[in-house]
Amino acid sequence: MTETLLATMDVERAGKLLRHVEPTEALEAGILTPMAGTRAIRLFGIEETERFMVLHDGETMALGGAWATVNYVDPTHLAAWIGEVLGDQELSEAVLAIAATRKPYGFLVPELKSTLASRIGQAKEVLGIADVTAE
Amino acid sequence: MASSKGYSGKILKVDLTTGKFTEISTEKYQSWGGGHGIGSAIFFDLCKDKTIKGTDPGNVVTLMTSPLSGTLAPSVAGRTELQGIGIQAYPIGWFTRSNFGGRFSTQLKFAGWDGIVVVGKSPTKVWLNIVNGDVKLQDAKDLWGLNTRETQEEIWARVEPSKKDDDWVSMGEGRDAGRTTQHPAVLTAGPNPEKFGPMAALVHDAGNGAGQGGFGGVFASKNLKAISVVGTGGVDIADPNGLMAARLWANDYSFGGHHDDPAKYVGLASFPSTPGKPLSTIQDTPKGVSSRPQGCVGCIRNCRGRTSTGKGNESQCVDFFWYDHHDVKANGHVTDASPRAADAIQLMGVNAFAVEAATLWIEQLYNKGIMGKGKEIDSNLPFDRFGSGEWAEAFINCIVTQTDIGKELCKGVAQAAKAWGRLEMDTTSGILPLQEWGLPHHYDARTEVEWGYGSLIGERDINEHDFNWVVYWTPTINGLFGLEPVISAKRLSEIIAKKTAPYNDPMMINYSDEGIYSEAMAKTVAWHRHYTRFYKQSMLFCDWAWADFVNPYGPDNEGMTSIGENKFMNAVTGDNMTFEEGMEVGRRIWNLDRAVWALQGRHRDIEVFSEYCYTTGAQPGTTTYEAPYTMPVFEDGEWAFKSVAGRILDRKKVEDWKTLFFKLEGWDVKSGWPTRDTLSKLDLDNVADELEKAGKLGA
Repeated sequence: MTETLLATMDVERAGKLLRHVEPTEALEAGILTPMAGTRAIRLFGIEETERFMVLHDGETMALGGAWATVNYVDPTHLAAWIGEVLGDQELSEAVLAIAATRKPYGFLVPELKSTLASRIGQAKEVLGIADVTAE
Repeated sequence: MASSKGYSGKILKVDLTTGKFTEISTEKYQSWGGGHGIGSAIFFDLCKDKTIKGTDPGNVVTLMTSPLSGTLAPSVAGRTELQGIGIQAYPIGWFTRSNFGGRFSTQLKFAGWDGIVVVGKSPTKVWLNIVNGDVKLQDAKDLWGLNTRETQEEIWARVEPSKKDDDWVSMGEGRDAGRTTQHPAVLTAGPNPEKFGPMAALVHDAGNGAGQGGFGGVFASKNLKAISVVGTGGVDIADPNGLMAARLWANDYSFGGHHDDPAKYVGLASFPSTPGKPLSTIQDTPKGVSSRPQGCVGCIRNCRGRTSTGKGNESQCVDFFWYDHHDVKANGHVTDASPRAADAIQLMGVNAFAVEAATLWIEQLYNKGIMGKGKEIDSNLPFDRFGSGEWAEAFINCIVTQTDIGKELCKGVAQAAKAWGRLEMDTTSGILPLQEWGLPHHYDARTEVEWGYGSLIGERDINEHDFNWVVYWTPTINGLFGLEPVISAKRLSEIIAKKTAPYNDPMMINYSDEGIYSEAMAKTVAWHRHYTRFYKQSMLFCDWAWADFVNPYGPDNEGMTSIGENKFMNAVTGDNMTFEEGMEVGRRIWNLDRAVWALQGRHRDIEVFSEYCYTTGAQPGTTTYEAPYTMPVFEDGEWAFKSVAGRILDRKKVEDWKTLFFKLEGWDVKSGWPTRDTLSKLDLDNVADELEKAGKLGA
């Protein structure tokens, strides 16, 4: 996986990226299950979105039977949301570039997640927010 | 069905009004097979006015087993079919069905009964106590306010006061009265269930629920809290060796029979359920919590789990899914909130699917500033802690106690929307995902039409995953994760054609924009309705194993369906019924049900989906969000898997499809009512007579 390197940002942009958005600005996503159908959910920030994008491997999913679930965010929709709502054009373009590879969703998730995590880390650094890693 | 093997021979009729018990000979209804077929036939005979509401004392409720109940037939022996006029659907509470697993049907058979028919209304609050042939109505005043666990434990203590957890107990005074290690199987409503009737489920053991229809409320309307049954007999099987041979044959189709050679995918009947495999045996186990499998009597799947914490025990599917995504969203992963939410609905006996739809909708209303403290819809629920266990428990509690927004939601989701003046508006925009008959959107009518059509032409969300597994879930997962399709779309169409007698049309799984309105799709829906009415709901093959179309261990990936069902049935009954004969019994049952709905007020003009299905595609920006919905399509002369997400239904084409369907079924195309000719050929002249008398016979 290639880590996407983005230019540093200022305090204002970092704050905007990490903000908790208003309900009307939330990102639409869905959880797919083989039993209960797909449930729409709303994500209210970039950190919540990064957490929501769970890493799955295909074989486990195929063998997962009734227990398999997929947390799904449309990558193109995600790119647009980051640009329009969170105001981070660079990250938006990076996400769009990943989506443009047209790989299956399961292969996009690690790259998307890594890119979001990296950008979140940058923003936190700018804002002087320390990451607390829980065991 | 000529043989009486597999049957107990008698059905218990309980008249709650008089307190009298009588026996109905099973033989009289045996041609209907069991379960739903017998239930519908008895309902038709005993419910004199079928236009009554579900809470009317005249409502007739049936709980039926099948010849396979209590046997070793896999993924079939543990289910019970429940029927009567429901109180959940809107605007008409249709004659409907629910179904639950566990031990109830087995204990009923062991007690010597093929089913229970409940009529009338008790003058006082009661519970029904069945110990073999000894049947009593007992005072339930002190049970009425108890939750489902408390009720079951109290009944166990009353029926078997001397029982220790790991010991035998005698079920009578005499030496030969019979002994068992089993607790009585108890089916019960939650606390004060008449107060939240349309939302009230019936629960058995920790996680077997009959949610659809509001039968907890129907029980309450009859002053019936619970039914307990324990038996010490057995099931008379025609060919025990044949049954064992069939079970071993089925083992070759399951994960359990291939520990050393696991497949790269699972068929519906071959789910893994083996400890030690890299898969959990329970959904949504918080980190660090282990679980072990638990299942219904005789099952090869064991799809539920018991956890080391005791939380979320035996819950499954929407029991968790109604809240887990809110938990994940709030907390980043599954926490204690998900099993707490599951336990809340199980203990209170609340319909999980109705709660799930309500929660999605409520979240939107809150986010839009419509619901909340001092808002248009006033609520003191702790929305700032949405996604926590506290919120889930507070929400369920408000329904059960008719407080806060529960004052309206206790009457049903569609009914609450109507009271708040939002039903039309929110089912048009789609933020209230009720797809048909005021019932929750489950799988999407716009993409997976066999699910939507079946629910619309029927009376409830079909909740049947057999086609769904092979036409949607497996292809979609393969597409999302870049896996080679298990089989090609063309091969899938061939397998489906082979297994769907009498139609046998490969175009039946063409989900293209044209295919969903085709005659072939009418055949799909007809086959599905007939198959499930007989094999799943009458013989009680479990939805999570049957129909087994595609299986990694079958010859050329072909599953057990069309061979397996009758292999088990005939071993138990001694008959020689063919698969096609079973399908025809299913068609007969389906026509009888359709006649009841006609009597209740069904007409094709009211068979329409909620407005959003015709105007709003499932896509980002709508409540009914869909990821790629990959399905088999036949386009430009070739089969392929393709995403059909975002599609909306064409109103006129749906109407044209209904006409094709009614023609195929032999029903009047103007009304959708069965005709005398069709009913007569099914030996249902008495049904035609009643329709004619009511002015509801198709021309």
